Amino acid sequence: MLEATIKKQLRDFTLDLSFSVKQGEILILMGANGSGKSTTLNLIAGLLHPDSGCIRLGDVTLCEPPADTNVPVEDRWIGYVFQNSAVFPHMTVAENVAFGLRARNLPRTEIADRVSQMIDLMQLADLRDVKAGNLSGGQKQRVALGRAIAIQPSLLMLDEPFTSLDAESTHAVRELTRTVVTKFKIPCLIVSHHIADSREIGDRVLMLRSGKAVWEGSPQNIPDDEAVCRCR
Amino acid sequence: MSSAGSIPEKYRRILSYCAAGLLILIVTLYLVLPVIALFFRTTPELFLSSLADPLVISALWLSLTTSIISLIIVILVGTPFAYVHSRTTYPGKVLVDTLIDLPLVLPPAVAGFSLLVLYGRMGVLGRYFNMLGISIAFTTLAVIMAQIFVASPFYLRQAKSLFEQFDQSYEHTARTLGASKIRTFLTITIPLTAGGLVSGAVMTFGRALGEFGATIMFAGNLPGVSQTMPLAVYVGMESNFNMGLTISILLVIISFIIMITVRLITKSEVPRA
Repeated sequence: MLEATIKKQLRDFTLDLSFSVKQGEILILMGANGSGKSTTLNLIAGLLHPDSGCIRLGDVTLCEPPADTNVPVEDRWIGYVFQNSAVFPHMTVAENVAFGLRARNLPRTEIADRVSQMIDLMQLADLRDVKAGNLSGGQKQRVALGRAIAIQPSLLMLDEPFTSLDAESTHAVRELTRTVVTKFKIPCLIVSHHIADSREIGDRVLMLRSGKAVWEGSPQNIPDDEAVCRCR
Repeated sequence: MSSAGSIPEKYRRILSYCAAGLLILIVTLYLVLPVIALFFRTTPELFLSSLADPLVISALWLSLTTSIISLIIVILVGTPFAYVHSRTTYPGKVLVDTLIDLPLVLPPAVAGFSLLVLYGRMGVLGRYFNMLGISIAFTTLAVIMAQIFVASPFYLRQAKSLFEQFDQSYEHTARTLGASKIRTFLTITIPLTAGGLVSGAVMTFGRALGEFGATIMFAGNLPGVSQTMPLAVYVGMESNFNMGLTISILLVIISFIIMITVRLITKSEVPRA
């Protein structure tokens, strides 16, 4: 379970949030551009540091500024898929998926097993040895998702994963995301400003405005005025 | 009615094409003719026989070895420097930014003189090196130091700009996957900026190879010690014209290869933020 209480002074406002995500649950962070959604993910990943608060993942305290606790980015075991997917274009699909496993010095046989498992799960078998720079947007997102899941993370985070995808790829990546979250029973945090994403894949929605939570509830109950005026 | 208005459209177009063509021809010829002239003043036999001249071989060998050593030092020190400089904020960063470009605008003779004032036998630091029995000025080491001084900004500017523009989400992804900062730098940042870095390195090598002013001031013109190819051309102009001609042609060929290499390499894309 992810439990986060975060406070950070940003240029235009103070990000002040408190939320939790259960195992196997998908929480959608919604809000207009610049409302603090991606910053929240970066704070949880350890790429930014909060001024105060506490971020706990299961039994591990990742960050608690007053107690000087700050687990390094590479030791947080968080699968993070960026908006541009950030697949490494100079590596093949298999090398991309294996990257995190090699970085963690896993035995060769285990790396090979996990890479094959992920490639099958993400339906990338035909593209295994293709350089990732030559893939389409949807294929890149599937590689990024498989690569993030391959390390068996304790938390999965996706930053606007469907923004640049066509309808077919969006549907495929949504399905795969739901599959891995259910299969591995991990909490999942998705940043989006599309109501359709929230309704299709989200279990719960947290709506942000200028760094504060302004609405929380089921995706089916997103208030229309709020959704239309602030989040689309 | 203006006279231009009376010229038919067809002739006006021909005239403008002719004017543009003439302009391109004049500029290109001005830049290329002196280089072509070198090839007209020699014959293949003369060129090949001059290549066997010990002074030519010595200058060629010295130029290539010192330029390669300078390049290796610039890459090994300059790459981490450019990365740290582009990714951190520190007091005086703007000043450092300006200072590392200084050798680009400084006359090479002044650069060489400055190096001499600093590292010469009675120089600000040189006197202390001298007390330790270390002599820098007028040695091969001085050649390398002069080359690094004048050529390193080419690499530093390129590397700095590449790291500043590089899309950091690649590095962030690698970190979240479990890679250390060093592993991320070596396996993600460097390969994805390699095209631009190599292009900067090739330009640095070219500048080091052609270095003249700073070298003659700081390292002198001693055959086998500090007489690099450009210095040998200078000597050849005074005493052995064919030798000067041969080395000049060699430098033209190397420069041409460098330009072609840079053009081919810069075609590769670097992921930008």
